[in-house]
Amino acid sequence: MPRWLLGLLLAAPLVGLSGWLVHGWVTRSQGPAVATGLLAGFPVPEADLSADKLEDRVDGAAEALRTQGCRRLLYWRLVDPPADLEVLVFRTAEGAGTTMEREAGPERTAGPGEEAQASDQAVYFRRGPFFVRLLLDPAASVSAETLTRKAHEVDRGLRQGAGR
Amino acid sequence: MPALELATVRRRNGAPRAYLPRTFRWIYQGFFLAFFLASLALMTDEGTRRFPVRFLLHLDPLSALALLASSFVIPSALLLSLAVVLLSVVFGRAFCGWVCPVGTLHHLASWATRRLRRGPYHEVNRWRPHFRLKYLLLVGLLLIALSGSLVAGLLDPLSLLTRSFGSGLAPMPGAALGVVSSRPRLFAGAWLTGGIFLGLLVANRWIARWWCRALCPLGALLGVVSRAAIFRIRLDPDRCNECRLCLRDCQGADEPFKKHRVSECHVCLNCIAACPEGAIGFQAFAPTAAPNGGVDLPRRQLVGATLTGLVLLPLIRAGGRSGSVPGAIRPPGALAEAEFVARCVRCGACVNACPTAALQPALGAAGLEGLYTPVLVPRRGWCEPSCVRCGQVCPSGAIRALSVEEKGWLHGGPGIRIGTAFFDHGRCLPWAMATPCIVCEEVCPTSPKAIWLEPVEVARRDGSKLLVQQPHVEPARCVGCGLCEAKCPVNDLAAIRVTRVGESRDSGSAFTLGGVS
Amino acid sequence: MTDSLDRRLVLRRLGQAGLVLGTSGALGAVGLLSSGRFRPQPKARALPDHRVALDSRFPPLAVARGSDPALLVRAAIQRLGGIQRFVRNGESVLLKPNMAWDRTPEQGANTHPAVVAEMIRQCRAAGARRVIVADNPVHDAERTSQRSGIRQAVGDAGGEMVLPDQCGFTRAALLGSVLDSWEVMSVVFLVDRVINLPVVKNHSLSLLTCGLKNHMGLLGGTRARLHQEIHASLADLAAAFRPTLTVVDATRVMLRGGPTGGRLQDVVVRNAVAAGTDPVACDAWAARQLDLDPREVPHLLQAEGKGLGSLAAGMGPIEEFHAGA
Repeated sequence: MPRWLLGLLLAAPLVGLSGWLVHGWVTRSQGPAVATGLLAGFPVPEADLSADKLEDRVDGAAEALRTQGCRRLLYWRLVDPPADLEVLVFRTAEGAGTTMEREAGPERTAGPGEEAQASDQAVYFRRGPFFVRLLLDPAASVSAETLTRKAHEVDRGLRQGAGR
Repeated sequence: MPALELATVRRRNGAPRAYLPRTFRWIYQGFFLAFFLASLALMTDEGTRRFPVRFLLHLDPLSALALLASSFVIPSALLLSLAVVLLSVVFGRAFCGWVCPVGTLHHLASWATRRLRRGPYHEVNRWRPHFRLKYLLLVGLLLIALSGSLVAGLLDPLSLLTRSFGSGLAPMPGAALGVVSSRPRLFAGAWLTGGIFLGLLVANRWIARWWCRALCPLGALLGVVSRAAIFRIRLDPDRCNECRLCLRDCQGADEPFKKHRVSECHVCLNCIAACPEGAIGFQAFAPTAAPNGGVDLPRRQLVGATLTGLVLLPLIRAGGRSGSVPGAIRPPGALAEAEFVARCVRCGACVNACPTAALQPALGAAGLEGLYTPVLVPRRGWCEPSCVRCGQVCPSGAIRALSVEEKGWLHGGPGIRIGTAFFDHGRCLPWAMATPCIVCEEVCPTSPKAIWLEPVEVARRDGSKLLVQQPHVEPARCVGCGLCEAKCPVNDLAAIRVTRVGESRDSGSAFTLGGVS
Repeated sequence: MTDSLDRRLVLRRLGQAGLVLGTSGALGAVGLLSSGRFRPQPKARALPDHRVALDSRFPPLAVARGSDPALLVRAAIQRLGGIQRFVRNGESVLLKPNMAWDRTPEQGANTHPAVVAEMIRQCRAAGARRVIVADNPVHDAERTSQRSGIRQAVGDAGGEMVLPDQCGFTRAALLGSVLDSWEVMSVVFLVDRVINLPVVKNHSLSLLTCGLKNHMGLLGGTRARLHQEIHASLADLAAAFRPTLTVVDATRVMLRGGPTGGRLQDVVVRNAVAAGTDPVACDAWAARQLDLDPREVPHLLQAEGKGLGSLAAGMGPIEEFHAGA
């Protein structure tokens, strides 16, 4: 085997590994130490309710949510597009999944998170133990795209936020 | 061959000639040693860097096999070790010679002490029968693993290395220089952990790479796999002049001259470089002279090792399983105790990564079965509410990688519980000494606080009355973080102490009827 | 021949003897004259007085209300006569926020990073050559400095963060009724001006944690012992530490679960910042944000008794300046 080829074959894994390590050294994911709330990039929520205060927002459904393990509800009032954003935090991913099933039905569409149900008026999705409801105002007229884009922004916020 | 003739040959031929693959071997050894040190340093990092700190531990096929034996599951990350098995099937024990940082350190140590090993090199560097011990150790450790105790981690070289540096040798420079820090990183038994590693290095003074040759169970495993190695050392008998220079710098004592033991060969390629006649090569499908590829294990020794393993196990367990030792608090996210002991590879990565040095290697705290598993000692440090680093660095999933939200302590709980705090009323200032305090309540991170205060009128020595706030623990809210014990001003034996009971990972540990979520 | 050999031998031997004796003598002298490795405790140093002269043109306390913390800080200081009254060109300033807890800004356990950032910018605009932000956190120092957002704010605004491992501690003479001397972060001795930046929270023992309690953040050693005589200790600290200015962060007020906090429900958004040269008045105002009567907070009464300020100045109706939206 020619010497240069041998050298190349021996050096290749080393070069590959070094590149990977250097990349790992300089790249930082959003650290847990960044001062952020549950949704990175979003302002302080209008309401942040613990399990015993769910009635303030969801009335009759509160007991059912608690049974599924819901322990926190955060609510934002969005302006662009005009919509209500709610993030429900459950103890387990199963609880979030069951609630999503009950609220959004069994159908699933493409969308953010681990499972999603998106329509023109509302986007429901789940990521881990978080269940998100993004409900467009009935009177508003925005494209489905705008709503979906917002939903993806919320998903990104979840992935980079304090709950990560 | 007369000794004089050998000496003449050596002088005439001088140093080994340059050999390109051997030069690369040095580079690879240096690279992986540096990589290990960087990984160790970055384990204490926040976890924001995408640097693969667990990569070397994930490469370890012994960990993978032992985990399979102890818990019948291999975490997906450890499937990376198949790459090492592939490497060994193709190139023999190249991992030992080119990658393993323990091997590199022992190689350096034996090179540094080479002049102390006096005598004809083919005598000093020969294969010795007691090198079979590593195969017996491998068998014994795997047997014990089958019963659910992963003590294989104690002798696994990568676990040994991470442990010895992380909780043994790393604090040494600071301790020697008397560096004062508000949070000194001190580890229980550091002298033992570091001392064992240094002791093994010292053994190189008598036999080169003694750990690799005689004790290393991973070396034994790769040795068994190497019996099928495609590329191996081959001596051309027509060109050989029997000078035996190939034996001088051989790292594995695998005797490339004549009776080559492929299971012992570290693929260091020193023999190829040393041979003045160019009679040795590294070839595919080369025939090997020694039977069994050099493993050469007499049956009675194998039987002996099996029996020893089978006897030792109940002996270790005779004192009770590790879960029965009270107090030993496990890291947040740890699996239930039996599973934890079966999955923990005793690498000490979590101990190294804990920012407050709360995690300590258990020496007696978790029983013999739990030796070198991590326990949380609140007196040394507390479990920082927002930190999930231990689960992020655990290579085998014995500690689950929790998210900050799942741990739940950042926002005041509820969440994971690792234990419960109990007051010692004889030492607590408001209870026993008519003196106000409540530092424990102040630092309690749960909302509402797990420590609540009861205003009580107590009598002072002179008969006058004083209103103090006496603290109580509400067990349902206590998460066991240990901040109260860590900050209690009675700092030798704190007036509030956390023990494991009430932890959420084990429903059998609940002591209140309200139970565990 | 024998003679010269003997002479050379004798000289050499004498030389060796002399070397041994000389070395021993020198070592003995060193041992005798040095004070040894285990020196007695260094004498406690008195804390410098960082105050500026009183000026009757300006009120002892000013309050600003609005939604932008930076604007509030600016407005409140303006009412007190502007930053130039407190920081001169070329001076070094220590900003002492509450950065003790590994909590996010929304959780209201630490001083808001926007307040710290604006304070740094103000000092630099006044010509300060160094603006240091320091604290001795209760939780892990690195995480606390990051999660509180203060490390980022300090970096962005051009300040310097100093944690205890970097500056160490110096024994300070407090000469109080309860506290005689204590270990204090060394930075305090190295700066010209000190600005206290507390946040308003409740506390089960001291009832209120604000400006006076914030001084505990500069202490080292087993400061958990102060709780045994908390009110007298806080009054002693107030007498020993005399900051240039106190700026109270009441943008978010922790009503329950203090000082650690956790739940967001325990925090209420008040959108106010108060600044003053009278630390007792500032804390009295802060007590009112928690619906406490300042006269029922013993450490404030004791501080007033030591002549450190006036409760009344923080209690009466105070004109609030509305800044921004």
